[in-house]
Amino acid sequence: MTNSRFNALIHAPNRLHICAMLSASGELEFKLLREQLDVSDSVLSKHIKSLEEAGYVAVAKRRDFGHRRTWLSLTSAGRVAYTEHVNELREMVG
Amino acid sequence: MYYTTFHIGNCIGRVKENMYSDQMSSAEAQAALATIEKAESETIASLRPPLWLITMISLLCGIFTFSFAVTEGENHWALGAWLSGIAVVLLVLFWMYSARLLGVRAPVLPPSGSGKIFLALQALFYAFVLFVGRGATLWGRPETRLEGAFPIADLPLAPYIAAVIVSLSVAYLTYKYPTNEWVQQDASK
Repeated sequence: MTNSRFNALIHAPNRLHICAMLSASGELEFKLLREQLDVSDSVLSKHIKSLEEAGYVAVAKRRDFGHRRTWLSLTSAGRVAYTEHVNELREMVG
Repeated sequence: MYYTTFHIGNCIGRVKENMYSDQMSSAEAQAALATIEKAESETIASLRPPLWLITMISLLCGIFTFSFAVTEGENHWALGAWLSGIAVVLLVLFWMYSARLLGVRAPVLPPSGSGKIFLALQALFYAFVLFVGRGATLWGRPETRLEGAFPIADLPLAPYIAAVIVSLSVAYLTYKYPTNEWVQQDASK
């Protein structure tokens, strides 16, 4: 059996959680994601970097209200990959 | 196939990601879907405006609908429509500002295609209720209603019904879908 739409990069638990949160919203701040996932900065950075390298997540650093903040969002490629992955999981469940 | 790169000192290594999709059971897939649903529900809950804000926005939308339906020329209801419309815009801007402080940037248009379709359907629904409400109010009066034409009976309650429909649907949709993204949710929540 070949699962062409199954995405191993997205399927890792924390990355799946990140994609699910980003798909349900527009842009989320790095700090908020870290608190929701209850992981360290370095762990989240590593996951974000791998998703960013795959072109699934866009990272934007902006100065808001006098603070430098990092905003994360799903790219259109990331949204497609995530949707296909979820559909594949639904097909597996039947 | 995906690899994760890691760094130890000056050394760079790569490990193969766990590729168990072929061996994945339906129970594992179900567990993954449960994780996704939980994450999406938590995100929706964290983005949901407080109940007082939802109540105010929905009531003001109802007032706007009623005022729009009964406005004639420059009467007081025209002012009511303007004021309630401006108040709704200000409250939505306040909500977006406070969400941004908490680390969430709500886009004006949802980024996904399904979200855009969902928003367009909502816009069509509200436009339909607004214009049918106004039409039924204007043409449903005994002094203006034409025999045999729409509406077929006097409709003194038309603006009230339109206002209640808009108010309740705004409250429900803002509570269940605060980001306008079409996310499947547990019906019990």
